[in-house]
Amino acid sequence: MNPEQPTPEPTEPVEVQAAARALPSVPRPRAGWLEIEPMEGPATFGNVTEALLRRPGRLLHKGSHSGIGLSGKLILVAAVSLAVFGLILGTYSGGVQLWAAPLKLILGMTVASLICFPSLYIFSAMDGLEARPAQLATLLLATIALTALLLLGFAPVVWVFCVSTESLPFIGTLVVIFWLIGLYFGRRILSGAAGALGARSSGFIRLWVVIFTIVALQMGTSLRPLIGTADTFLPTEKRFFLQHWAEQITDEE
Amino acid sequence: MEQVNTRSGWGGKLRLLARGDAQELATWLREPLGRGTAGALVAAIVGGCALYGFALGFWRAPLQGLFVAIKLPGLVFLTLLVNGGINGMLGQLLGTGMTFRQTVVCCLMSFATFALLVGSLSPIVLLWVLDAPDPLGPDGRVWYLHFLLANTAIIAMAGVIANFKLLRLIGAFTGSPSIARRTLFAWLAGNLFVGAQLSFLFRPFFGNPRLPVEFLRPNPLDGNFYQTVWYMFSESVGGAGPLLIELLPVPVGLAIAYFLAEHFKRSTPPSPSRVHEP
Repeated sequence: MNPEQPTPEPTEPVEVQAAARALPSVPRPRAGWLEIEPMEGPATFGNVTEALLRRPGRLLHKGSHSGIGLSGKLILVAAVSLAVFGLILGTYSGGVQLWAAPLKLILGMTVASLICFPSLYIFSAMDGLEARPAQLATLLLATIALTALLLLGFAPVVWVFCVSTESLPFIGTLVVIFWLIGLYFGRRILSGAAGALGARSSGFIRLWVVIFTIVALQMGTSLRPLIGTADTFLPTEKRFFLQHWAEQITDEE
Repeated sequence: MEQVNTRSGWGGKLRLLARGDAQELATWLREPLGRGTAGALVAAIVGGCALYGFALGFWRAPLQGLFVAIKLPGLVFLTLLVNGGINGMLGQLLGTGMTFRQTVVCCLMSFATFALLVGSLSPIVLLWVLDAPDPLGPDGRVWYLHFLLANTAIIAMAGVIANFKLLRLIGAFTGSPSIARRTLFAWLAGNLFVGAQLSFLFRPFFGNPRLPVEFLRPNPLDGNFYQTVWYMFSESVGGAGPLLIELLPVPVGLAIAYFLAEHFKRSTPPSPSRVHEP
């Protein structure tokens, strides 16, 4: 190259320029959006767990190619994590709660997910997301699996307090805080995937997350006791979760 | 500049740790975990915390010093054990790119720095204790309060320095100050939350002169640090307690509002820029 010849300005590839001309209104990828990329290796338990934590975009890519197998792995991750977390919660009271708490946690999360799925489909469509129900189901499963995985990570902390604390409201508050932290990170998968799949915004999806949170908290109250003991396996009296919490705190004082 | 050799013995590794150069430590962190690395970090924590723990408990009685020398390193390792899983998950979720092993080594490095600092100050604390009045004597109570205050300051100082080094290390590893800040906040919050409860269960550390010398208090697994602090707070404010409880939602609400505002400010999409024809 002639050293006196000026170096040409670096330009974008021709394909990118053409795409930009053809789709001038498509927003460019930004922070928080998932990078959809192929998964390295098969969708094993370990690979799925790693993808959940580090590269959730790989799940989306894998989901569009191998649906059922991946969904099964995500369900397994969520079920095992919730079962272990439930077992730890059960150690607070022992006895029946050792198996009842894991069962109720898994049941509650399953029912909450199923009854909230139609609204997720509608709300995501209102955000401009054109995803098939199967894709959305994978996303929802990934959200639940990540939330459950984080609860599993918090399980030793909960255990430390379960063995040393008698206060039911304290343990309850701790669990709700940990669950909300898990859901916060789980929500990032939904919003990030929505952005990557062409959603105009994620406002309605965030609103759906609020609705899902309320439903899940109510489910925890409807299936009580998750912590502590009761005469019956399921409650005989119907209550709103805020009313139930207020009564528990008042009783403690 | 002296070339770092992380394959040197424990002494070399601990010098590297004490020097705290973030880039060198990040290079060390990327290397496979060998016996040398684990051994050096564990030795630093056991040695530093045991020496400092002995000095803390020695004023009450030599036996109490021995007990605290065993319990203080145990407290560090138990905190790491309880929080290891969630720290690793949060590290990955927040984008550090660290594996679980690297997360654990990173936290071990931070605790080892803390241990080196307090361990290096332990001879001073020990000399101070040797020059102290009798715990059950007339001046014992005042001296005990001074001792508590000074050692709280020492622990706080060592904690701040160790976490500052940890922040720089995460920053050098990830190349992103914002990821480093978020990760440090998450790890620190978890470690403080669990560490406070575990230290409450493993008390006594300082050894109140009015209480007997013992390894653990009777019924050690019976109690909650946060509830105890709350009861003490309620007792101290007396009639103002209910009013404070009613006012509590105000700062909490403001904090949540600030967090949400910051969150939405960051996530507001930029206005789509028009692409001009070339």
